[in-house]
Amino acid sequence: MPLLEASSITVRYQGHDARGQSCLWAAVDGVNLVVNEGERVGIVGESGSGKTTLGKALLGIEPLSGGGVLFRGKAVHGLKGTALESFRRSAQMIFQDPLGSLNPRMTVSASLSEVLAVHRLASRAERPERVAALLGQVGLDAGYLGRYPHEFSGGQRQRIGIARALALNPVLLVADEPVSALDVSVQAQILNLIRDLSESRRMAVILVAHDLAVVNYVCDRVLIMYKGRVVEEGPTRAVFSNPAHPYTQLLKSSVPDPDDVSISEAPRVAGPQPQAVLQDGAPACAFADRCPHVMDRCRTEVPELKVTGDRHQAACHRA
Amino acid sequence: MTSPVLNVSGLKIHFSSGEGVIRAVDGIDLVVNENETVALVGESGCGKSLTSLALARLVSGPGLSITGRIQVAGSDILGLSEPELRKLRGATLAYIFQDPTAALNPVKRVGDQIAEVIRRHRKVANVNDEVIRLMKLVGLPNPETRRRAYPHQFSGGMQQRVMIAMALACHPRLLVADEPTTALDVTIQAQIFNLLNDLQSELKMAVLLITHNLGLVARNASRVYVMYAGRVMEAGPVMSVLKSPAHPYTKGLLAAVPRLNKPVDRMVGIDGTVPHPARLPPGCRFNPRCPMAGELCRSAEPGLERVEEGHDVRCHYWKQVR
Repeated sequence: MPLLEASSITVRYQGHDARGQSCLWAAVDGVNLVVNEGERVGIVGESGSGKTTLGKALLGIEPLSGGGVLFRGKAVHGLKGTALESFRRSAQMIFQDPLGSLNPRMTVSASLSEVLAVHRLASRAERPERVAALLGQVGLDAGYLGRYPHEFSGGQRQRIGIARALALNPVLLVADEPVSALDVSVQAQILNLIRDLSESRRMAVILVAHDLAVVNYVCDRVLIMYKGRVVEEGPTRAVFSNPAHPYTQLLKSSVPDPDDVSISEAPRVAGPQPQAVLQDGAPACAFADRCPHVMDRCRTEVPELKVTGDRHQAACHRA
Repeated sequence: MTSPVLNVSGLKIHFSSGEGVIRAVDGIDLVVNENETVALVGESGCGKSLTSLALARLVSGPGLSITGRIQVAGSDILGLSEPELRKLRGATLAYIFQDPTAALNPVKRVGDQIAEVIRRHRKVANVNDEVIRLMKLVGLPNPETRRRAYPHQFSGGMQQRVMIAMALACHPRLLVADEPTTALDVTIQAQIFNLLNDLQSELKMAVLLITHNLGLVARNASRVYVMYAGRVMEAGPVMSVLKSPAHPYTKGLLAAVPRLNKPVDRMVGIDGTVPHPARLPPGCRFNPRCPMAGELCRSAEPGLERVEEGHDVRCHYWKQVR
C-alpha cells in the first residue's frame, strides 16, 4: 500500500470572471499522485499553478471539491478525533517563512516543548532532553534553547521549523518553498538536512517549489503543474534532462545556468502568467495560449497524461 | 575609450552607533561603462543594496558618513546640492527595485505615475503620447486603456514593466536594477531580462545589476563584483570569475547553487553567516567561514591582487584556490 494516494482531487473556489460574473475557479483540477514510504516527490509550478493548494489538500488542510486522498488507506478528509490527531503526527508541514510560523513570544524551547505536550509524547520531565536532542538533529546548539525567534538568522529559523516538524516523528513531510527566502549558502545546508533526514528516517517528502534546480537536487520524482493540472510527471532526472511537455521545456530553458557564461538570451514566449482555470470554459489544453507548437486539437480537447518513457508521463497531444 | 558612466572609488558608508562604527560598506571601487551590464553579487547583509542606494545618495540613518568618490555620468554625487541631486535622480540614473508593489503608488493610475517622471525632467509637448509610447516599449498591452489602471490591477510581471517604463522615461545613462526579478516566476524573469537587454542595446545604458542569482549573472552580465562584509572580494569578467574563481567565497557561492543541467552528488553550503558590520573579524573578513583560512588570514587582511587582466581578488591564497 502506498503511503499517500490522491485520486483525481479537485479544489474549486468561488470567484469572478473578467465580466464580474460569479463563477467557479479550479485551483487544483483532477490531480492524481502516489507517494511511497521514504520517497521524495517534487511539485513544481509558477505562482498560481495550484502547487501550494495541492500541498495543503494532501494534508487535509484544504477541503476538496472532488476526488479523495488516502493516507495508509484511510480517507484524510473524513478523519476526526484521535484518528485525525494521529494523522497530524504522521504528516507534518514546513513553510517558506519560518518567522511567520513561530510564535515570537515563545522561546525555542517552549515552541518545541508545546508540540510534545499537545501530542502527549513526552512527560514534563522528559521534555527538556527531547527538545535538546531535536535541536541537535537539525544542527543547532542546545545553547540556543532559551532564545526567541527574532534572535536567529533565516536559515536557523528554518532549522527550528524542521525540528518542530520532526518532534512528532512524521513519516511524511510537506515542505512548501522551504528555502526560497534563504541565501544560497544557507539553502544548500537546509536542502542537505531535508535529504539526510528523509534517508535516515525513511521519511517521505513532498517538496513544493518553483525552483527546478532545488527539486532536481532533492527529489526522486517530480510533478510539473500548470493551471491546476499536472502537465508532466516522472523521475526527476528524466523529466529535467528530457522534458516532454512544451511547458516543462519552457521552464527549463528559462532557468539561467551559472555554468554557461556565454551571454545568451532566454526563450521568448509571449503570454500571461498562469492562473486558475475557469470551470465550464471550452475544453482545451491549459497551455495552448502560450505554446509554440499549438495545433487546432489543443483548443478543443484536453490532453490526458500519457506515457512517454519509463514511469514518465506528459499531458500533450504531441507527446 | 570614453570615461565610464559610473565610477566609484574608495566608497565607505559608515554609521556611528552605540556599538561602535558600523562599517556597512568599507572602501569599494566600482566601474560600469556605457552599454555594459555589470553585476554586484553577495549574500544578504554584505552591503550590495546599500552601495546601490548610495549612488543617488539615497542612504540615510543616524551617524551616517559617506566618504570616497561617486561619479555618475561625470557628476560628483557626493559634492552635489539637494536640488542638483533631484535633477539627476530619475533622469541621469534610475532604479528598478525588487518589489514593484512597494515602489508604485497604489492610489495613482499607472499612466499618471509614468507621466509624473516625464513632467518632472523633460519638456514634452504631449505627455500622454509619451506615456503610451513608453508602455508600448516595455510591452504593456493596450496602453491607451491600461494607463488608466491602478497598480493592483496588474500582475507582478506587468507591475515590474511599469517600473521599467518609469525608469526609462528620461533615457537614463545608468540603470540600477536591484533584484529586479527575484519576486517573479522564471518565465516572467526571462521576459523581463530580454526586455532589459533589448532596451539596453537601443539606449546604450550602463546597467548595474544587483542580484544573488549567479545564473542571471552568467546569462546577462559581462563583468561581476563579488561583495562580502562591505568589501569587494573578487571582481572581473564573468567568463573568468565564474569559470575559475580565485576567492574561496566566490567558489563557495558557486558550489552552493543547485544545478539543473548536471546531477550534483552533494552540495556544500558555506558555514556560518555574514559578520555584523560593527563586529568584523580581524584579518580577512571571510576567515571565520573560510575552509582555507590559516594564521595569516586571521592576522592580516589581504589587499586586492591581480589574477589576470581585469580580474582582481582579495585573498592570500588565491593561487591555491584557482
